[in-house]
Amino acid sequence: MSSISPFQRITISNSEILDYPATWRILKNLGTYNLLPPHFEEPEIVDTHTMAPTLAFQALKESQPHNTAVALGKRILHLTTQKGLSVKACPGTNHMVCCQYHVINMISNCPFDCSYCYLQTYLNQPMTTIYVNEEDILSQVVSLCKTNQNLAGAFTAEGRTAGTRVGSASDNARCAGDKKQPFRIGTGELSDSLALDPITEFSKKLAFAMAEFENVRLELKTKSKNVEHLLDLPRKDHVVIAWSINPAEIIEREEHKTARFDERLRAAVLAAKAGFHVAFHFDPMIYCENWKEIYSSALDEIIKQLPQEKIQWMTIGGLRYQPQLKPIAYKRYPQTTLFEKDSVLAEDGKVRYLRTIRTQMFQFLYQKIKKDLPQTYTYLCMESKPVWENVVGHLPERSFSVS
Amino acid sequence: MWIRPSISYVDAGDSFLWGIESNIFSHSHSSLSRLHSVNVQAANVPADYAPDNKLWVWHPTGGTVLYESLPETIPVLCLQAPDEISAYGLYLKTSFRSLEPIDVEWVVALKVLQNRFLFDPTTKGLPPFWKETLIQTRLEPHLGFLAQRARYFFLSTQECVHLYRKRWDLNIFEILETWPMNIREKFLVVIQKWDLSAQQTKEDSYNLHLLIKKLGIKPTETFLNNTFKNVEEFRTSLTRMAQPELSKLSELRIDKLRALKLPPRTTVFGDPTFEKDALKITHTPRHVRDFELFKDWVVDPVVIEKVKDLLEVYHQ
Repeated sequence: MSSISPFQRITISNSEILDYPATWRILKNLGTYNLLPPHFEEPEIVDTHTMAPTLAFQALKESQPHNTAVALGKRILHLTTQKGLSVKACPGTNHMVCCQYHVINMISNCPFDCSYCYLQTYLNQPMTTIYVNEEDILSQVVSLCKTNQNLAGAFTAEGRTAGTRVGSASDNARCAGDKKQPFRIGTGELSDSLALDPITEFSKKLAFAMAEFENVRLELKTKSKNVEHLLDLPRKDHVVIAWSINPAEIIEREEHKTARFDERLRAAVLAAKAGFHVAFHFDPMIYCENWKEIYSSALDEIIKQLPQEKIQWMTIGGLRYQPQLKPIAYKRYPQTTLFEKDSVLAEDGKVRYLRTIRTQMFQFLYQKIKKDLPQTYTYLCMESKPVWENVVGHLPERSFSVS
Repeated sequence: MWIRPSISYVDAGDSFLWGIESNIFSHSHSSLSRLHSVNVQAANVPADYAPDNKLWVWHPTGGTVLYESLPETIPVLCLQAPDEISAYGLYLKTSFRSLEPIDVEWVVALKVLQNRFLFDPTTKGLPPFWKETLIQTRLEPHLGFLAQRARYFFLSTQECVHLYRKRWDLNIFEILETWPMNIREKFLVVIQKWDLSAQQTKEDSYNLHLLIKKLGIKPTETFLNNTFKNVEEFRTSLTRMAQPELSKLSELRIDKLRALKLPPRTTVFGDPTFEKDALKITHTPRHVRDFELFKDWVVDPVVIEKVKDLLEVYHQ
């Protein structure tokens, strides 16, 4: 938790928020980790509809990198309830191949500050928002797991579904024997899964809730080093802690406030030793002059430090962003080198490196992973059919679909 | 700074003095006399006209007009309001009612609010008459819409005027925020010289931004100072320097497409973003002869080779 500064304000949407046990647990943990605002007495009740424009106006007076509403929202911790569905299929992106992932949104906005973060153009409500009605959310999760548990027998060994392929060889055999389709669900869509987890303790609760479903994998996707609080989980083999990873130089330049490369790797080793499976997402790969060298070294370091059988899957994805991100990123981090390579606006409305460039980058890393970690299932995230065909050699089967 | 032409009394119609008419008649007879005496719709009022008896003037071409040296006479609208900020809100409401504002006008209106009145909407909410102004332009009467426009405070007067004249969206100029002013001024000159469209301006601004990042300020300035024969030469040079790989592929694609020498009523589309590697060939014959020519073209070995060539561009 060392990289996170204390929040400047703690707000709630109404007084009923104080009736939820999660609220008090979070406030207590904020105190434990010294993240409460100075002289904090009690949370303020705020009207969230007026907060966003207020922050937008306020941001005009702020210096870089605090000069946007989402940046200012990182300093405010807002506790509220999620009325609608908190668990849903990952929206993926139009016209691209999708991995049929499911996401649980218990937090929105992130204390980390990657210059390429899509939340900068995505969040209408900029505060760091935590949904405290965890019982409702957990019951949605359990219900979804039950539904997918009933899909047992939906795949066959030769089916080579994404589910079978994302598991390790032993998992595949076990699942094939049980004829249950592995089902992946994760929390890292609108925030980092573990950045605030020592405060919220949500991941533990999710892991408990999912433990009874043999075919379910909970993926906790992070750029943090926060794993210690999870080490005492009684069952760990259904939890995959996944690190979004980039070479140290890129982390230093673009992934502000996150754990350093070596810190993430140390946390991965700790998690693997404790009995968790781990995964790595080289996503987004970012172009620079020496990209081959630095991505190759980063992968070598992972392989050197972690037992292969502990690495459940790897993904590769390229930098992609909505066009409006570019001016925002430059406004906040003028020194960023993110956008300096030839790019085009793809069919899904996102800007990506030119296909030839990203194919070359993906091919390089994919082939190296295949060579050095032949047992590890590796796939591309949010990529088009032609890129899949050029990099992997074929399209994924079943479970993966073109959205 | 005010970018739209001043509103006339005639255009304003009944709404011109909306909300204060009763004040004039019931409480401020002397003010009404003054209104008549200065002949509002074509008023020539001395520049040193002093607010009197809560009768405030708002000059339609600028917020600082009362404080700077100006010609002796200036056109003004006289608005009855308790204070200058109310008069401004009333003017805005009246003006925006006569002609619906585009986004850049809201930026300008907000800038005046900030610079002249030092008004902070985050602590004071909407100023007088702004709620009605937002409602009459079919916008939600809260700060959300205005906050989005406030992001564009960085636009210069000249840039605002250009956006207004062209009726472009604000986002056409959004990348300019991080540029030094001298580059912005030169870019605006280029846009106006070559009469670039909104789409071209946006593309070129992103390419110019890449150039600034790659080469630095001075070489970019030198590039903009170059004399180009025409707009195509300017745009091609810019793309070549900013995105050389994309530019090379695009030029190859265009050359190969031209080399196909298409028969009548035939088109070949190859994705200019190179994301899709499938060509789309369409033929819409009007006469049988068209179709026969198309058939011959399709089976011509030379054409087949050229199509292969074109497809190879997509597989590089």
